[in-house]
Amino acid sequence: MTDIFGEDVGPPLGGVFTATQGLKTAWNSPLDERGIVGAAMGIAYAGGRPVCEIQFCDYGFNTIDLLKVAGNQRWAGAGHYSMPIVLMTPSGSGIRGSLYHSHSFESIASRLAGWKIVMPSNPLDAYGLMLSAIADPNPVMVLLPKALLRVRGDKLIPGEPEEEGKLKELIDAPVGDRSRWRPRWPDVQEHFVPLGVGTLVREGSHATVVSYGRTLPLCVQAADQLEKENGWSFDVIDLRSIFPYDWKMISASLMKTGRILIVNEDTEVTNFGEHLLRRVIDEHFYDLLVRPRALMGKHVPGIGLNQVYEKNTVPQLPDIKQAMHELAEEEA
Amino acid sequence: MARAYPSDKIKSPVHLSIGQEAASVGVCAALEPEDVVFGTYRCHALYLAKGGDLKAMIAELYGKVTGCARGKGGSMHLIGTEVGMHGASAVVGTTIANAIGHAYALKYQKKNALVVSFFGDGATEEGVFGESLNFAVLKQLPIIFVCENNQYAIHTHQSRRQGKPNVCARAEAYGIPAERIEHGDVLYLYERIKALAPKVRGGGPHFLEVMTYRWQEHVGPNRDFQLGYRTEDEMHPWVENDQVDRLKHMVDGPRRAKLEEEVEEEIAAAFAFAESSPVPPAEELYADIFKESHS
Ligand SMILES: Cc1ncc(C[n+]2csc(CCOP(=O)(O)OP(=O)(O)O)c2C)c(N)n1
Ligand SMILES: [Mg+2]
Repeated sequence: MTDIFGEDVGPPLGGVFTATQGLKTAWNSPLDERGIVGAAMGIAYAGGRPVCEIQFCDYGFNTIDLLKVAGNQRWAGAGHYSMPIVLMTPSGSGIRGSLYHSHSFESIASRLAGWKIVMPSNPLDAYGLMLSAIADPNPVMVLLPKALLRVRGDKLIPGEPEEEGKLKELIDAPVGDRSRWRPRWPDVQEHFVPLGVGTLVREGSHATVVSYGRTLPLCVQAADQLEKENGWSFDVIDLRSIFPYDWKMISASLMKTGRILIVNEDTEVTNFGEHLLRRVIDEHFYDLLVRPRALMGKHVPGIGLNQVYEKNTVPQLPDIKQAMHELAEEEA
Repeated sequence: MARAYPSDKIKSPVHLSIGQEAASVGVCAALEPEDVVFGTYRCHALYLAKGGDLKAMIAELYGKVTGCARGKGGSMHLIGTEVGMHGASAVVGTTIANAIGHAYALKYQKKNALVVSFFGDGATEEGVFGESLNFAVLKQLPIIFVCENNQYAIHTHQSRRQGKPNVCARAEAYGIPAERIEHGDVLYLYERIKALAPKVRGGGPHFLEVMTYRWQEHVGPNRDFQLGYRTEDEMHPWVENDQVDRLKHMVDGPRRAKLEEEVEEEIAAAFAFAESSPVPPAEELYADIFKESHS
């Protein structure tokens, strides 16, 4: 079963971000999120492997009861069922969407035991994590950072044309009549990013920064700037999977640096990053040179429209750089 | 607004009401000030028709602190409780249930007011729609449901989302008298609300499906016929039947010219107000989360 369904994921646009444009198996569902998640579960019971979409994670809050059941079902049914569903949904801020197009979801998702949760920070990982999510026999939530849904990555998908704009020409529907348009898919190869495995995006010795999604490229930029300006070098870990997460990678880096900062934009009360901090303290208290830190979104009900609200609510490049500066600078 | 949008001073995504004004105007003109409305993110017409402040609306779209939601909500979250506009929501369907609760409170406070709940054809697919209808019938609440049926939810036609694309039949199945108003006839709608309101105030829901058409794209200032999910031919009769134009021609020439001039001035003043208003200061971030309690 390769069905991809959700609100407007089929023609004409292939979703709000055109992420499923031109895919033959993408079809438009009724406007009903609980119906979407519940139907995906039913398809899975019948042996299918559906991919469903919640148009923005902000509209996933009313599906929590079903998400809960999806995570429970195999365990509670003593393994009689498997639940190979993929739920993809755009998450986080950065599109000036105001209150209900800017929420994050990963902390709430991380409380749904039985789910695997991933969040890529670039197109190649998005592709690789999506393939792994589809292949996985369990419920996997793919959180796509809204702010990055239209960026071109530094690393190409194997088989993706190198020339900028070429891919667009092949797979983006033209403006105007599209009734006869068909995408010309490049001959891309499979590429799997294993679930639960992070990646070290920058290697350094002074301190460790753990992030994912929208804030990850900002951490990388900050690391590059601080290396130039202050000579500090950072391990920047792109966690990629929120559950299961790559504790081995975090732990090994921390043993090397003794300094750690966790960065994400979900609200800070309570945040998945706080779980990581707790584990850092439990297992690495005596390895720490300075207090461990987390930089997260403010605990406010939403992100306001005006950019003053957004900038003050979720970490921006200067906030991240300052936090990394303080982490590296503090006397041990 | 569609004209001002390219300047990028409007910071909010906008779901324009152009073409759908009749539903808001026809209903609200027949309401009393103490009656209450709940709407959707496509709420500009509703907010204004219920008497919302144009200046506060444009400032809200600019994200300014003088906006009706202090620049937090933008276009999708207009609110004016002082005129009975009890808010709009970006989350499809949510305000239907809120409207029910409000109607329940009015009934048990023995107020003589009613509630009107506005929503789109798409919203009727959310579970909360059926849940709310059931509650309204069970408690015989003073509420009028107004489904603004523009036949589309974003780009998907009603017939491709609903097995039985007959919204009134579904309302009737719950036990609510329902009627469909073809062509979005604003004067007929006004008359119907005038006639229905006394009965509804006494308790007992009513359902109206107002046929209408969205002229612009789902979100944004432009037309979107190039996408191919609908045709200009389909829109044509609605433009011919434009209710704004219809009302305009019922006013004689000199008076119309004067009215138009006044409206243009009001609009210009609202935009000037929005432009010159300050952005929210940083401290606003934590304002209004909790109400201070005084014991
Ligand atoms: C709960 C929820 N799901 C999905 C969306 C995304 N969305 C925004 S508007 C819309 C279509 C709504 O159609 P309809 O109710 O007919 O209202 P219209 O836009 O036509 O006025 C959708 C799917 C949302 N805002 N809220
Ligand atoms: Mg509609």
